[in-house]
Amino acid sequence: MENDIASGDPNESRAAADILGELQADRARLAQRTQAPRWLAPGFGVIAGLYVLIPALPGDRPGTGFVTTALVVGIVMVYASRRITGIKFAGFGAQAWFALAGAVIGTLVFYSVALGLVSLDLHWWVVAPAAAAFGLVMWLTRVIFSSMRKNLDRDR
Amino acid sequence: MTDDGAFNETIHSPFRLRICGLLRSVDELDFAVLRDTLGVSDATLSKNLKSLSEAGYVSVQKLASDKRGDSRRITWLRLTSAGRQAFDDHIRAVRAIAAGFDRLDAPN
Repeated sequence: MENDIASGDPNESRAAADILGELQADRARLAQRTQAPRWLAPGFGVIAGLYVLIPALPGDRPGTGFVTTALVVGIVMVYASRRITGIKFAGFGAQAWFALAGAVIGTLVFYSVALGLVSLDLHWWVVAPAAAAFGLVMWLTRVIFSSMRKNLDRDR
Repeated sequence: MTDDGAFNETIHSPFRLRICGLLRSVDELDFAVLRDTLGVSDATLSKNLKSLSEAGYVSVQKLASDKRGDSRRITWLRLTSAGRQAFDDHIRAVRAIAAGFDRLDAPN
């Protein structure tokens, strides 16, 4: 059936506006009830913190295979969080992409600081950039999830 | 189809429209999350999903065996590309009608 847009019936127009309002309310309800698993942000924070600690570890090539392991653990965490929340988000959104870039760049900066500290024989001081990387990535993971949750509520 | 969209009788049913509206905002949604968000029973949701699935608008993917407990079972629902197109067309038509309400509601 073709729609009867030109009819100009006020009741029909009001009903259509109510339908749109109900769809928006459903999306707002979905966004409101969607919570990230408690371990998600600390989990990614731990991965970043451990990565920054690598230069302080003993041995010729400390942390060999860490990046691969961290990648696998990260994918498993994302997969598990999808199953727990019951949502596969449609898009990342600009804010989430910026936060992801910030997490990667920030971790690399702290890793460089850790390398500098080790070169100065200040091994124990590496704990400081590792803790900072943990905090930064934990916070940015929350920003990413929050951004994706807000996208649920976006009008399409 | 015009720029004002096209009504779709399958989608226009209130529950099916709300189902499509939620599925349109995500990539995939679990059956239980959709049911709880809409506040409907399993039977009502299943019945409406069956209609949408038969129309080719929704795809259903069940993970893990039905013999397992609920906590280990998940049913992912997704709007197909035909479903997205039909929903978007339908919403354009609804918006065009609602625009008439906005004009009536606007102060003179």
